[in-house]
Amino acid sequence: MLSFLKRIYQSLSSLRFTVMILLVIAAISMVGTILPQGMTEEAVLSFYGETSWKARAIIFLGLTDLYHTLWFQALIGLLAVNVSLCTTERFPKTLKLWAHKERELNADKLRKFNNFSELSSLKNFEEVISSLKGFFHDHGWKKEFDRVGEETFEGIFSKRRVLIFSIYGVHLSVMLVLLGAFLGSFFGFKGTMALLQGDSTNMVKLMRKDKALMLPFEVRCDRFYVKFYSDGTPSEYVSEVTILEGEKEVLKKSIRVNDPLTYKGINFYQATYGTIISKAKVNFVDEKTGESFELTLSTQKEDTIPGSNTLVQLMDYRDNFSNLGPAVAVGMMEEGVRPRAGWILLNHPDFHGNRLGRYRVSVRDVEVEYYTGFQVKRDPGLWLVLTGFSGLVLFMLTTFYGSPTRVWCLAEKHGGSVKIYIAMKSKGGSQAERFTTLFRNVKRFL
Amino acid sequence: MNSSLLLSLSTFGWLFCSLLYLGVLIFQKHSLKKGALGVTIIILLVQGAGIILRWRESYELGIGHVPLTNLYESLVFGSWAIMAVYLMFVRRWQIVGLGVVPSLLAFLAMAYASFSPNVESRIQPLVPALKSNWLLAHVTTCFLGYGAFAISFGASLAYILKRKYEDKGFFRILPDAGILEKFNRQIIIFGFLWLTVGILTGAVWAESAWGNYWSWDPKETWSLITWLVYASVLHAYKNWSGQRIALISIVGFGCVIFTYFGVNFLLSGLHSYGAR
Repeated sequence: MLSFLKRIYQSLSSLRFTVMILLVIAAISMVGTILPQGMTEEAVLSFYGETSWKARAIIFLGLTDLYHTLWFQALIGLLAVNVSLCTTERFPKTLKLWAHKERELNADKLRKFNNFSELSSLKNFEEVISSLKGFFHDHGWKKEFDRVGEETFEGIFSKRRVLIFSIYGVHLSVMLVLLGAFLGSFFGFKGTMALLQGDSTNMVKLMRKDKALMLPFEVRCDRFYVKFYSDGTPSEYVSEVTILEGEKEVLKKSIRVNDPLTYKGINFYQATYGTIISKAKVNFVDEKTGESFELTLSTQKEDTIPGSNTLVQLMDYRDNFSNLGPAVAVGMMEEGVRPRAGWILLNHPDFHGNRLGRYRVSVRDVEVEYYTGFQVKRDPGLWLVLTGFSGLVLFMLTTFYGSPTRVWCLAEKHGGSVKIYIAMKSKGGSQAERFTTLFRNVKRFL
Repeated sequence: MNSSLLLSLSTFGWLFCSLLYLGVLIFQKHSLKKGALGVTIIILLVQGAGIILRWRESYELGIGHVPLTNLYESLVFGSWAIMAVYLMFVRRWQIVGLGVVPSLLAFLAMAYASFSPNVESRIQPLVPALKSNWLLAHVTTCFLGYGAFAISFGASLAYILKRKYEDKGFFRILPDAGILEKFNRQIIIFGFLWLTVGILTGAVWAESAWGNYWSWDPKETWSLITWLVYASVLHAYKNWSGQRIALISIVGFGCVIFTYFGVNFLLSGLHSYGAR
């Protein structure tokens, strides 16, 4: 039993496991970009067929909301466990390496280092020592240890050695991001708020839940408008809003894309907008009698075409109906006929479809109301996530390019001359070039 | 003089350049090496001037913005970034002939941008979502990463061929496998660093624009997949053979391509402005 646990611990804290879990998360993430996300169960069943095993698998595994399923988050959790275990496993070793000072240097020991060179000097011993010390001092090396004996000089010098801990900074930053995301999803909320121009509300519809949340204050949309470029593409969506505490107006601001509003830790972002029709002047021409009636219709109630029992009402509005420009849907109810509705194109009054029953219909003076949609959220984990982001970049930089170094230097009296040994340890010979330069400089200095 | 002239020039420039690099690979002549690098620098300058000119032209049209906002502009910058990164590394590593792959990719990107009917090369006004200072940081850093991965793709390919065929016949001209392996690692580290910065600047931007630093949008997800693949490469150096690492690097570049093209054309999401 104990050895079984030990085996689990060993594989969980291994680099092989890291590589495997990274690739597994990558592979599963692909699935979520291929299968449409956010489909309802009914949609899945009707798309794949009620009895198909695909539909069952998709629903069982929650593949239509993959990234929020417990098992996907457990995989990320497993990665976090792996990172933590690797850290606890390796950190003490790094610490030991950091504190370790090689005493009793001798030439044979240094020869085993992967960067090693030696030279001899004809200067006298004391002069060589002071030159060596001077060299390392002048070139920005920090003295970690030195000892001058009668016939030997031992010295250890280093540069940016603290950066051997950088890799832990990288992993800690990744953990901070994950922790921040977890805190945010656990203690924060995310939702949407839709507002008609002039209306106010405190209701936020929560995302991925059939629930709403009431804010302790109200938001009123004073005005929403879209600015356009001269070629007709939108340049800016602007919602002018007021925050209301009870009856009191406490804050006014224009919310734009890339320019959110923050109030009491809750952020409002411009997310969507749309139009709904309120009123329109609609002209009905009876094609049999040639009589013409102009009515101002609304979405709220039906109107009667004079001299008949025909009821008409506005139903819907589109800015751009099938690329034919704005269109209004008008509904009509006549006795003995099934209710019907038709899209009336505003910019194409002669379009043959602009008719309902025995009337030719044309529309002008449409009054639309804009509504604006905000993304609303509170995220108490955000600061952790952002700290993690900064740490990730900073520590990656120092991990990859910080190159902490330590140089061992030994000088020995050999008769009339002095032998000097210089050695440096580096991972995978990556610093060979630096060592060569260093050695050349030492040589020149002596 | 306008930007399209300079950019067309650089399209053919990269084709010429890739032929030069092929010459370097085959003949190993020092003068050819110098020539190829010189031509690379000249085309980088010409193309850079083209990009800056396009920037200015957008201001003359009254819709001034950084030329990094649609598929055309990103292809142009992408091809520039590949060669700029290559030039940064080539001096230190002395693997000039490897330039065939990045310069060919730079040419293909430019050719696709210029000649495909699907790519709109007109300067378009900026959609509201892109109006942010993060745009410049996000796009440039991502493309530095992509550029590095394109070069890693070339190095990995050469490495696999070299290990498989050793010095037989044609493959004699490829650089030494040991150097290719070390070079590949350094270029992946460089790309990984910039991809990380690119993803994070994107996340911070998304947070300030939409209130969501991560929404599992297909482009975000694919950039994460790319990041995970290269992260696994960096963690696999101890346990994996050189060939396997080279193979996964090639898979990684496949992910880059899919993040860039596949997501634009096959999947929809927040990054829809990249598709035209």
